[in-house]
Amino acid sequence: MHEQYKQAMSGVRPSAQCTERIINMTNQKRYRVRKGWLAAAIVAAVLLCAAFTANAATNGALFDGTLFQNLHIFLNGKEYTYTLSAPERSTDKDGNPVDHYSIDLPDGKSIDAYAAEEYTAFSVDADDVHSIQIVGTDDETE
Amino acid sequence: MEQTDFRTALERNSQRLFLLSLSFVKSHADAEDILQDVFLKLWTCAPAFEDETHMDKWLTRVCVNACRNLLRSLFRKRCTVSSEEADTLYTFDSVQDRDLFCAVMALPERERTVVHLFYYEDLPIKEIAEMLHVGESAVKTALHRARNHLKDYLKEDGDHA
Repeated sequence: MHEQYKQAMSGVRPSAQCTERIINMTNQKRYRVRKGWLAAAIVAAVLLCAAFTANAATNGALFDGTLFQNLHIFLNGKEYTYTLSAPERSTDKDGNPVDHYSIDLPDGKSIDAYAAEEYTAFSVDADDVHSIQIVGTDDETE
Repeated sequence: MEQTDFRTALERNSQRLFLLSLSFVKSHADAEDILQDVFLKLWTCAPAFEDETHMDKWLTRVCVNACRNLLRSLFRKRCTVSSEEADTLYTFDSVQDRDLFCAVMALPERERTVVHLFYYEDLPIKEIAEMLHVGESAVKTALHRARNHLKDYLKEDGDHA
């Protein structure tokens, strides 16, 4: 029965296209996303979106010193304090005011954040950041 | 893993794993998707293998898990390989081979997978039980029932012919 079964199944194969697709996978560049990094990125995104949404809702009060004057940025577990300065103000294509905050981090890294009334966006210019957390405080600045 | 090693593994295992998937999911398209997923895993996150046997066992385990996950999916479209479809998709040396394939595909899921693991993969009852997370007696019962079903099916098919 073993041999009979194997003989019967010998003609049952995946299609040539399927095998070709599998071989083609190996020609593509491999990207590995570490789960820890992904989680950290999601947390950072949520925190920043929440912060900038609050900024938009308070008409820029969050970052203009009314609510928070300092940002404590925890980058890969190390803390950096950043004192907010006035944002660069411009207008988008619909004429709405947009605030641009450029936060310079050590080693040439930087965070660019854009806050408008109806949307917020940010980008982190660094390729080795696996953990970032931003906390706003209203400590007295020296 | 080097590309040449990957190709060797693909040539050695593609048919075996495709048949294994087919015995679980009973659908040509789903079996091909699973095959692709299994080799994607091999390419992206395979552990260091001691030898070919170790790799083959790892592939079998990954394939079985992928099949079980698919079968658990509520959104899976239930479809089967009909005898007409089998004729167009596969080449059989004889009518008996085709009939046996269709008879196996007509078995209930548990019996189908047990038959395949026992007769094609040559796995012992104990190992099949571990792989399917069932008791050894359940495997023996499924095998016994499957043999009876196959006898009935093939006899019935022979009578019609």
